[in-house]
Amino acid sequence: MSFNSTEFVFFFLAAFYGYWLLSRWRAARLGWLLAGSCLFYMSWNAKFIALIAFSSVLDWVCGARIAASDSPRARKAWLALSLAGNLGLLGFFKYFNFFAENVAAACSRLGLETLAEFTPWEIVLPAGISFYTFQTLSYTIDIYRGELRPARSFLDFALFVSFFPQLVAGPIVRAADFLPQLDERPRFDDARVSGGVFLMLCGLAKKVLLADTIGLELVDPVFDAPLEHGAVGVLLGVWAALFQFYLDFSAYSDIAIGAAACLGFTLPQNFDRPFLAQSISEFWRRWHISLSTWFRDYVFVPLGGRGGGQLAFFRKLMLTMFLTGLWHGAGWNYVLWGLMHGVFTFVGVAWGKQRTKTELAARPVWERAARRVWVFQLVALSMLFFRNGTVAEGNRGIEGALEMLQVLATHWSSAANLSSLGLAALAAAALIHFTPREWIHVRGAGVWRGAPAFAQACVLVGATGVLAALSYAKAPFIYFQF
Amino acid sequence: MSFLNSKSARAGLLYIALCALAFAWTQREQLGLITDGRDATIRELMRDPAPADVLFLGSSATARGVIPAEFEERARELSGQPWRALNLAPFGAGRHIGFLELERWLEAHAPPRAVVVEVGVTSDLVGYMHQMLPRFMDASDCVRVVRERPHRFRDAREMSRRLRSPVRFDPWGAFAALDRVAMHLELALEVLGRGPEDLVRAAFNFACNGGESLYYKPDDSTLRSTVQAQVAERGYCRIGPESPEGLAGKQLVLGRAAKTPYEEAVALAWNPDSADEFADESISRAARLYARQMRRLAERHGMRLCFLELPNFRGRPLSPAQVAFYRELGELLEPDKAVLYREESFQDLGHLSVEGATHLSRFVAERLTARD
Repeated sequence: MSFNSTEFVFFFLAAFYGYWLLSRWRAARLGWLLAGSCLFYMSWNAKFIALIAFSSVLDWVCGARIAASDSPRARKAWLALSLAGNLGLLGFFKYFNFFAENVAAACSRLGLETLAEFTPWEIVLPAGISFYTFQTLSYTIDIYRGELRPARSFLDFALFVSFFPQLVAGPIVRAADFLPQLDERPRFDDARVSGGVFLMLCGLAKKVLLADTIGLELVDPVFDAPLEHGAVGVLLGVWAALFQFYLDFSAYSDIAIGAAACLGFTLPQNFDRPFLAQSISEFWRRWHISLSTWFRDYVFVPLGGRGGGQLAFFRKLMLTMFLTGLWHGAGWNYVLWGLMHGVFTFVGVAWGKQRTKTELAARPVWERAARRVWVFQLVALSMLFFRNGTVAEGNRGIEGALEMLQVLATHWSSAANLSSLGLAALAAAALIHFTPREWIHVRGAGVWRGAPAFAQACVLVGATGVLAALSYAKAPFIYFQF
Repeated sequence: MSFLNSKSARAGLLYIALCALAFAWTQREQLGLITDGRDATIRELMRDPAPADVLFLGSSATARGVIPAEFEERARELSGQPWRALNLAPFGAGRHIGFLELERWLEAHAPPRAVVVEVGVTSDLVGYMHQMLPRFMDASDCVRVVRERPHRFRDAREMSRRLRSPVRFDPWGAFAALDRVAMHLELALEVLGRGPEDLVRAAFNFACNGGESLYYKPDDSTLRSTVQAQVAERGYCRIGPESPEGLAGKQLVLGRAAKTPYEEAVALAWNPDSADEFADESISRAARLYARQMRRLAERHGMRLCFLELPNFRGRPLSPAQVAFYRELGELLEPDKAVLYREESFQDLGHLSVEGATHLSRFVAERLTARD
């Protein structure tokens, strides 16, 4: 049941009405949401609900034991159990084949033929495992650090892990932000719900009208056959891929945040117009914010952060970005993508003059524009490697990226042969991205909130029709596979 | 603010009501609010409590290819006893609808002596159709499918999604049961979205085709009034040879006749390399699935199950795989191509003319009475 399906629309309505009608009874309203979240998840693959249940029980027990224990050794042991359990599951489902294939390849090079033969296992990647694993990990780590008290009940914790708006593709929510929201009795706020619905509509429009069109009309043809599109086509195709990823993922985040708002919850912002970034480090403060802050807080800072000289900083940064790349997928292209961002960030931080936001804003327009263009091109360059690994069929990984680089270097005279519909969608996406945020999210939401109920209902019917008619192919959200 | 008095709650309820209205409007034929003539006729036949001896199930090839009155007359001549035959084949439907019809028939009627199921292009190659609801008999079918067996009516994409991750470890069938619950729920949730979807599709089609091809626009030849008038006049309904559709179809027949001479077509043997309707796959997964389901029903109710070949005009013969498959499940009735491949036997490439249908109906009567 994807967000871009009519099933989800009616599922959400049932969850919404049930939740608010039961809002005065804590256990009932939370139980309702938990049941709905389980059904939502089971619509992908019912048996994997067992994994979420296992992960929830494990971390609930570990969290409680860590909090209850005075012995540092025991606390460490419970934390280790939580880490081993969660990362073990993630490692098996997501990385086992990758690891085994690489070991087999290494053995083959070393002449150990008996160890070199490996047939990949048929392992289905459970939807959202990377996301909920990180959530549950942050819970036990925060308790271990003394920054969080254990959840009040297992119901609270299970809902934190499986809350359907963000279960499958984030944003990655911290327990410290989410659990306190369960304790307050929700007060129905009509304006907030209207805002949430508006955000969901914006997200659906981004996904169905822009991201899918750009993907189908521009990105797929270019990445499938770069030679046929020449350097200009490849360049536009890579830019388009970057926009497609942004629109697709930020659309999911918008719908998740909007749906949560309708239920009275606040989820963290996950995107902040990333192509306005004037440096790669700023880009990561605007792109997949919940993931970048997770790696910052649970990997980079514990490793020592910025301290220890340039070399140490480089080492820690590269390790963090290596893991960020690997988190996205079991493939060397993802790793390379992460490392490229590590190098870009390091170069920017180590040799560039660090400027505050105010300083940057005070720079001349041309300089800001040039910085943005430069950062966009760097991110687009890395996208060559990222996108070539995300196509399930015909995944060509690094080889595909290198072929496109070759086209970029040598085929400038070839015609681009690109779809005008795709280019129009790309232009619209760029226009919307650079439109001041308040125009859409404040003024647009204001107009929506002021509309009569009947007008809102009519717009929703029209939107449902467009959603269903245009997403017959139901292109899944790209980040589902991470 | 009280939740139920809020504007958002009102907007939500209005939205549901509008979706329901859109559903009722766009699916008005299928819900029985207005009907396609063929579907209306079938509904009336199904409602009639009188038992039947033979049921014909299939697509428009059967709807136009079998004339029950001809069958009854010939069967009575041969067996000396009265037969009642019903042609329950709707237009544009795959085998799944035939299965649904048979199930419903058996719930309210005594089992017929024989069930004759079409074998041919539509029946064998059309799998899970995207537009499932339009072919349901009435609104209760929607509820029924949601309640009982939604997995049979999901599209091929959905089926492949389900089959990609087969459950290997499933203690007490728990995961399969959970999966089923989730799927039931999904389908139930999907139904109301069909209204807005169809409105938008209709609008797109209208804009693209200048009103020529409205979604679900009933064809004049299948309007209830047309069908009722034809049934009253002739005892059966069909596109008349003098109608625009009939004339266009006949042109196609003549065109193919010029390309494929009669003798060559009659003598044509199965050749897996030749490009034709059965080139890729001779029977779709869905067609196999529902044929087997029909076999189970036939066994349970002691009915004779026959598969009737309805060829295209001078088209490819049944493949060995098709022949073997249908013979394993029941009797395969293969009409004489020497008669059917004459130009006058076909109204268009996929549908028999009155002459062809008369021949086929009498042929089936002869085969059924011979072994009854």
